[in-house]
Amino acid sequence: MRSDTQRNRRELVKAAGQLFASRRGPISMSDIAKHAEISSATAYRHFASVEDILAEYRFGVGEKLREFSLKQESSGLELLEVVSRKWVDLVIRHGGAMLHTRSGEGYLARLRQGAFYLTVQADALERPLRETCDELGLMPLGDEAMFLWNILFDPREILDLIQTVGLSKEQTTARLVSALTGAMTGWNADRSRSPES
Amino acid sequence: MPARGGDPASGLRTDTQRNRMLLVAAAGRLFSAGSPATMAEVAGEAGISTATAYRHFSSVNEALAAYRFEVGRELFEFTTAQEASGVDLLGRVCAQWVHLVVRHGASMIHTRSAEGYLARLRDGAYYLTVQAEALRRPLAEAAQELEVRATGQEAMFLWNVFFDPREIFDLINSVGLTPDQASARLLRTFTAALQGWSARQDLS
Repeated sequence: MRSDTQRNRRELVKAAGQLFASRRGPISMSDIAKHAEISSATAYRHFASVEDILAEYRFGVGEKLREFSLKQESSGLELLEVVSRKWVDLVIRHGGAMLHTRSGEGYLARLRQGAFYLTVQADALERPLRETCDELGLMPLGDEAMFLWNILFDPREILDLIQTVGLSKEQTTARLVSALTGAMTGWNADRSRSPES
Repeated sequence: MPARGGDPASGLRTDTQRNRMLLVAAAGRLFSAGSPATMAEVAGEAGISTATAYRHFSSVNEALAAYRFEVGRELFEFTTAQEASGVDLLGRVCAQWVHLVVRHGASMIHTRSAEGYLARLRDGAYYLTVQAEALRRPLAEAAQELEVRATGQEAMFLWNVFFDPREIFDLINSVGLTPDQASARLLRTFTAALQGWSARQDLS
């Protein structure tokens, strides 16, 4: 891509992040284009929809999580807790842009189809979850552990705990990690009892 | 979403009530079959003019909310009729919920609002309130039986995270569980998550 084209794309993603962080309610492609000081026609040459821009924005946030995760020296449950806390930080920092109007499709269905912003997040959690299974004496749960992490650490639920229940970031992380390890243990016990074909 | 207590249809005239019921059923049928529909399509399916449909519901989402309210009420009636208690009761109610979700299909999957579950519940989203009512006694008794310290609100929050219709369909379609297996798996996972949540609460 030529550099001004790349610049326009970056500006659009940045503008979308700023707009969604600062206000609720519908935000259109032309709102984002205007905020980025780019024409709507140019914006549509880069992205087919507002959802596409947000997906790229979330991919960028997921990359930050992956880079953070890869350079950690801790392991197992401790690593899981550190990476999860980083995620809670990122969700709070990026706020509104992280709240998707969700797709009707389930997480595993989307992950297995290779939704690009989910795969980078799954990369960030791969070692923490694998080593946690090991540390807790569970069978390797693979993307089923990722499924459980994802439903508990959904940005919407994180912001709900902070804004509605009034938990701090640290309490939110601690309780969600503890709920997650409980959930993984319960899942594992049931799966051992009735293994799926 | 309007905040309303009780049955939103109470006090309406009979033919008005009938039209409303037809619209709710039509929205449920179309979405259950897996295809999103416009208000005009829902009205057409119900055999009612679009103008009349808009006198009942300002959007298709509102008609679907009324449909989910009816499903929630079925769950509530089921709970009320049970003589079991504690984790046993919770298991029965969860199995019934999974059964209802499977029966009503895609109409149960919300393209969710950006607001969190608890925030919406507090705002009085009426179809969530009836569902929460259905779970109140099962969750309270299960928490007591498991010696878990968590507020009713926290238990409801976690239940909702695990028993979201979208996740139930994901387990059935992606992992290949039967509805009964999905229900048993989620119950075990949820109760263990609740115990984990509560253990950490004692520390912090």
